[in-house]
Amino acid sequence: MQQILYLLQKEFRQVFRDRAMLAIMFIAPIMQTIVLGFSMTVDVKNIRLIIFDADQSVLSRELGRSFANNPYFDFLGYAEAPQELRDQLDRWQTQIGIHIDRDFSRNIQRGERASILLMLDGLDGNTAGIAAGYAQGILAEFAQGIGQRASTIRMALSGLPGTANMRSRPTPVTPVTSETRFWYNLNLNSKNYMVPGLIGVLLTVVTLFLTSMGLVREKEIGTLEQLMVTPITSTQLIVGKVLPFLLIGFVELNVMLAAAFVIFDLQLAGSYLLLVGVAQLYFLTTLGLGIFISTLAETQQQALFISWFFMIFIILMSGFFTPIANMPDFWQMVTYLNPARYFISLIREIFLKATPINNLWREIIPLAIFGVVILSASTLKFKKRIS
Amino acid sequence: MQTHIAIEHFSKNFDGVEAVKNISLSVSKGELFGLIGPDGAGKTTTMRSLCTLLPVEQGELSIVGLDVRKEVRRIRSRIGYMPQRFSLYPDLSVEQNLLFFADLFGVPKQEKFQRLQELYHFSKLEPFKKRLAKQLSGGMKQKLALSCTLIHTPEVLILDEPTTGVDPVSRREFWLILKKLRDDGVTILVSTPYMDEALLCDRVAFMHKGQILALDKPDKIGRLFPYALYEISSSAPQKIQNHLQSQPSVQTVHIFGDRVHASFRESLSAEQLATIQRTAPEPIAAMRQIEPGIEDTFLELMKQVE
Repeated sequence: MQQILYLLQKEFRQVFRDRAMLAIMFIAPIMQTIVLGFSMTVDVKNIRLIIFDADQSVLSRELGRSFANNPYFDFLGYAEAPQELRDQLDRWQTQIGIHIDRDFSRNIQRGERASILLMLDGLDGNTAGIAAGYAQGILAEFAQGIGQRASTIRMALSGLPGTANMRSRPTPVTPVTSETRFWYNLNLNSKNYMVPGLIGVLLTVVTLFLTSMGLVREKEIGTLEQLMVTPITSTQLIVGKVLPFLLIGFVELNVMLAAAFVIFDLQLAGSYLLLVGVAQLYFLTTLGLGIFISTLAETQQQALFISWFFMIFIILMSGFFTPIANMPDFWQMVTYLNPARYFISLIREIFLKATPINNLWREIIPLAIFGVVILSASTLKFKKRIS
Repeated sequence: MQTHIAIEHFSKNFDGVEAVKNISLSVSKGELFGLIGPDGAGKTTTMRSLCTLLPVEQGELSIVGLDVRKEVRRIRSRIGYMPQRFSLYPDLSVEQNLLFFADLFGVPKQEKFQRLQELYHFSKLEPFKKRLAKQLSGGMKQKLALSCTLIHTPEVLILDEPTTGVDPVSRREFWLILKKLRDDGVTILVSTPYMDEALLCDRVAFMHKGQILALDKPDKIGRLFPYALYEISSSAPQKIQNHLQSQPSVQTVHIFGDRVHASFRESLSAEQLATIQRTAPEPIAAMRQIEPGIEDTFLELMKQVE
């Protein structure tokens, strides 16, 4: 026990000696939380729009106004000719081009099917999909407003990936309206979703990198061997090397929570203790992985690259940015092997929904199992390597 | 005399390559024993095995009577090992490094500071105790490393090329410290590639390609030299060497600085000497028979193995 304290003391002396490293450890995560928290948003706003109105009727103008007045769209103006829509899309001047048919108002008045064509820049499929959804909504509202019960307006989509020239179901003009209410994140504010996830990601980076680099550094400068000829056991050595990073991870968590509260005005809906407990459980995995990497790498440079390699998968397959439900089935199964998947989901659940622990066992148990297995396997491998 | 280090029929393979081939030696308590030999001779492997850092498969190794295979932790608290490369924390100060190792070795608090003073005294590092290890000169780094291995007053010291890359003044100073430790009863096994350092040891073992080719007191090693040796002074030693190499009566020719050492099967007569001097391509200033030194012997022994 005493030996572990000496190792801890030494480790913290080294950490505090290195001012640059200290800055990287604490200022960098805050900066990243701020910059990424504000910039990494999945909100779709200010969708650039132009309209070609072949009909030039009262009704078509009214439809144009419905789009122009909608806050999600940024109406750039009317096109002179139909091919202008295509040109503007090609030149990235606009994201959506709407072509209103020549027979639009006549068809509506006759009670026949009227149609418009929506051309979307499908380069960013996510944005295009959301924009199409908004357009559909506007159309439904419009149809209802003109009160043409008998008629339907069909919207043809073009440009969405995988749905080239897909025809949407005709928007029926029904008296029933639905109103959507989003729970837990009333305004669908991306920050509420991204910042907690971001905290999870940054904790992964800090603990994984620091552990692997810290151990490999001892190997690189030869002190690991010097430690091995002292009477300390390899278990004491590992505990002494890993514990500081566990503490640093805990401090980082609090620093980032403070940033989330102060800068993003977020509130921790759930239990702080539960969040801390879950984070410590997750650190078992990242520290274990760090130890594992240190057995593979001989130099800090190698450790950095291997850590990076693992980290890309851990983060991109965690559901932090791309919802897991959107992945192909097989890859969804693979994410069950990713401990970060559970952690990111837990941190969001606790942060936004205040989910009580009883409803979280489904995530906590696998997280704990992964942590214990990875940490003990790496420790065994590490011991084998040094003795 | 008590045996402090015993190696019996020790061999070590790395992936099928024999690094050490069946060596045996023993070092008595308070002896300064040198392992001499070129790079790749097996010195480091032997030392690391003694320090319990490598698994021992073949042969018996023991330190202060303890089996290296079985008594790992007890051995580690009684030996001091200094690896070839500087292996301390560059970002900790001299004092922090010393105290850290004192703590790990479990040196009691009351003894710790007294021990520190003793180590500062002989290493003369006290004025630099607040300095970071990475800011020390090469010689001071080695003295700090030695101090760290001495912090727990080990009975046996194992030093792997402690003076490689250190300036001549620091080297001499370092060896004076070793002699003093030896006089205090510490058993020292030290490896070095420098022949002049071999002369400072009580006994040396010459290792080459995993084998011990000679083991004796340094002044007796020369007796193993099988030929009559002559030293030739000339302003063009290279030309003399080239010339002698083509002579059938010459066994070996080596350049030692500005001199040439040439050996013959038997001592030369005055007539033979005169012939050599006369036929030399460059004037020979002096040629005289000398006692073979340790280096002559090692070069010869190495040649015999190859």
